[in-house]
Amino acid sequence: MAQIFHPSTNTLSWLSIVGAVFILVGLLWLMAALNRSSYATEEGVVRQQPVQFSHAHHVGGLGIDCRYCHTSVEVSPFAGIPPTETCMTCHAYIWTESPFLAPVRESFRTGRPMIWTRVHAVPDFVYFDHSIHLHKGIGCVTCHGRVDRMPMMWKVKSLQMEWCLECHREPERFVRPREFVFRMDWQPQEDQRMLGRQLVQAYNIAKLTTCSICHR
Amino acid sequence: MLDMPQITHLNQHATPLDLTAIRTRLQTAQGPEYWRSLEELADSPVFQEFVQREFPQQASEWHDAVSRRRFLQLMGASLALAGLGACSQQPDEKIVPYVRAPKEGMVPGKPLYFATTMTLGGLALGVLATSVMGRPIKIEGNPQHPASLGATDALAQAAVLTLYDPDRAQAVLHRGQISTWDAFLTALRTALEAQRPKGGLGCVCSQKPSPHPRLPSNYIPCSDNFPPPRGTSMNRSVTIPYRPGRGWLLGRMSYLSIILIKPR
Repeated sequence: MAQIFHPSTNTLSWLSIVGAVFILVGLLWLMAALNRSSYATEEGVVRQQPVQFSHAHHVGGLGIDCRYCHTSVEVSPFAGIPPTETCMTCHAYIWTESPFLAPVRESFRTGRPMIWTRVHAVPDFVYFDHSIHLHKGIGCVTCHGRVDRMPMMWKVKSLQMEWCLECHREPERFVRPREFVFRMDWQPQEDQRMLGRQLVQAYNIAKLTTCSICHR
Repeated sequence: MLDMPQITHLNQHATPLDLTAIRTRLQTAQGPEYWRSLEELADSPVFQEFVQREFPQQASEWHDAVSRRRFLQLMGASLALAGLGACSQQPDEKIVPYVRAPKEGMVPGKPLYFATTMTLGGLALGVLATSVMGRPIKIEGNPQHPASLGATDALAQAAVLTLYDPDRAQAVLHRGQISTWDAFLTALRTALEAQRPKGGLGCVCSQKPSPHPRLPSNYIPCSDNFPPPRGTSMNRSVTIPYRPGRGWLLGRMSYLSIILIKPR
């Protein structure tokens, strides 16, 4: 009876066994890479909004404080998106004919709200509170980046759990004095770790890596 | 689907309701009676069978068009691939702010608590309602209210669901078709005018038990000398011993109130 398989198939079978391991590992790597890519995290992806509102112009150019619009950021989990009314405090007087602001005037006239696309979203199983982060000395810039240089809004951080934990494990790397949390251009004068360690003590920043801190 | 004969609906084969029999039974009935549908009230054999059968007809039949092996394969595959759903972008979320923000009290992202009352079986119960961005989501007892003392019962806990009940009437309906409020008023007025010569005898007003019962003449939309209809209390909840009695027609309410906090 003739051989069914040629002797070279021995080599092929060994190769495929070894190859399977590489393919498996490669697949896992691909999944991990995809999950961290900006395709999945939407990091750096500019989102379309009903109005082409420019933070670069309003914050960077005019120097309007974050809290003028995001009023509840210091007292609530949610920073707040301004009502149309807030836009109209100025735009009832300036740029009143601008076609870019037509949706704002439309909303104010008809009473129908503007529908914004959320840029920074954590999943619903994560509890996030803006107010506590500000009170413990985490600046807006630390998570949101240089918003004062963004003509349209995008995410600069992945908002994935490993990114949260970077700071929750070592808050001293990121905390700043409370009075500078809203400053876009603040830089530590001294060594950040030295300052950070002092602030962690002064602000009573406790252990932050318990699951139930965020997954309540 | 799967070669199954079509599932027939209960009503298609049900005999029409014997309204005369229902009326006779109701007239001879003693004490309060509760029912959820006319079929239940009629208590026909078809309805009894419907209640007895936990599952609809033919639900237990299993035509083996999909083999057990194939079924397990599909289930296994969907279990193995279930995690893939996580390998995607988060769905888009929208933020819809106010046009004009409420002037006081509300902080975006924080709930508001209101002390309010709800009526149950004609009595007021003091409750605290939790509202998130204008949407009530929870009812708890008000510790400072003597009828609640911080406690609620199942009906009060469930009351918040009535706000989101999909079966709640969202429009005026006429025989299942959406109609207008004006059309309703016209129809009501015609029906009431027909009652005028009879001195209001054929007219019955049904209302939920209320701590401040209004006589039907208060809310019938034709006020000019219309004879008062008979009032009927529609007692939907039975937790509180409640007896409208003759006080109802006199504009007074008498009920039994048991206070359990300081037993002697």
